[in-house]
Amino acid sequence: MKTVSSHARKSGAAAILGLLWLVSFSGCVTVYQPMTGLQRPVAVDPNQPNLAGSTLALACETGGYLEPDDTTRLCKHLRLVFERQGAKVVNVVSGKFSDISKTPAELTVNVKPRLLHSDTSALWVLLSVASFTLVPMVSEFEFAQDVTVRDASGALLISDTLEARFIRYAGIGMWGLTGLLDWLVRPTDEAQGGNAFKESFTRDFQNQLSQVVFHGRMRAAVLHEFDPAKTPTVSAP
Amino acid sequence: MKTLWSPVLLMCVAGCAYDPAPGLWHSTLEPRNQHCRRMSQQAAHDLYPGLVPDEPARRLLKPAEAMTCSADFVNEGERPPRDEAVLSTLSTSVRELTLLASSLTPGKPTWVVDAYYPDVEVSSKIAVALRNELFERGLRVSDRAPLLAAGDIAILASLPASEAFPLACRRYFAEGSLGDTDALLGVMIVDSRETQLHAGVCQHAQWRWLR
Repeated sequence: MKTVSSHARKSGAAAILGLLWLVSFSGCVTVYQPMTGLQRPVAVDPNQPNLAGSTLALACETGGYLEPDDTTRLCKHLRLVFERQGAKVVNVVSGKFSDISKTPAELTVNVKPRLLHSDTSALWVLLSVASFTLVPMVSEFEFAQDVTVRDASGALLISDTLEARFIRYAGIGMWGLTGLLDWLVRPTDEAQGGNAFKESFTRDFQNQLSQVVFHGRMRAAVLHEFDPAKTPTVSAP
Repeated sequence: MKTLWSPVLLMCVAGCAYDPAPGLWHSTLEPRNQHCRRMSQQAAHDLYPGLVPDEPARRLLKPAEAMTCSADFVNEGERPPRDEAVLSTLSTSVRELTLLASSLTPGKPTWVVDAYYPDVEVSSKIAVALRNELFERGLRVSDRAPLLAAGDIAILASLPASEAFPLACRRYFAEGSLGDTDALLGVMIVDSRETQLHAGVCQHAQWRWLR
């Protein structure tokens, strides 16, 4: 009877430890690092009607790191971003072989994702498991979004590459420390915990895309000598 | 157990200091003043031999990579965003614009340069950069600035860019600021929401937009 009780106690303790171990992995901190392009200063305010009167076709390509569902979501989001600035978005295509060059739009915006780097170190995983996640499990990935803007004839007006890096720390140690620093030391706009990385990346991405498309629009106007009659048009298929 | 984990934790925390990403050692603002790119250890060693060691002759694991970052001269927020964007990409834009101008302009004119930018200091920086780049291309460059009468300037200021630059071009020749052997390379911002430079060439009283 004594043996059974001791065994039950050990099992209970192991279960609690296991549970604690699992719970400790639920604390995650993700940080965002703009690598190239995303941190560039912008002069355009994406909440103003910068694209009023423009017709826009939008193509979001699948590939790299984006699944088809993510691509569709991205395209929907970008549509809202451009519509908020007064553009009339006439065609939205998401998929692997997007070709919307023959749409009756003044500008065609193409967004193509590329995975640059992805890594989860086995050493970090081992250390993290062994330390009850005091040492965090670190995984990171870097991606690029190649953005091109073309006019109605298909001529390339502008191209740009926006690169970002995300690092995910899983573990109670890093989560607790980050939370503590956010609470005690860091100003609110420099907080690193929670969804701060999402908000920061979304803001940068929207701002840069708005600036690139506005540049495309201005470049088209200059190249056609500000004369709408000289602007090439393609009839609707 | 404590003595075992302390060095491990210390190593982990110390390792974070070398990573340019936001974290315990870096704020979210610091990476915004850097431009980083990932490259192979060999490429990084070629660029920074004193900082990045050469690849080992015998490789046990997958090829190592390095992340190289270059810091901006001016931190975010220290200059107006448009000035910062224009000046931080000035060498690239000047290279592109002078290449376009020199290849699309017939003959071997004497180049006169002017920059039309709302801020005078930035404007003069752009003009100097253009002159230097044209000179480095082996072209004949004049350091004089073309002048117009006050009345002309008052009228031009009230016109949209599409009309102002072609008219200014005609007036430069009418007033004798530019001659038949000259070509003016004008670089400007057309809209205050832009951070890109446009350019046009004025030759024989004819204005031509380049970009």
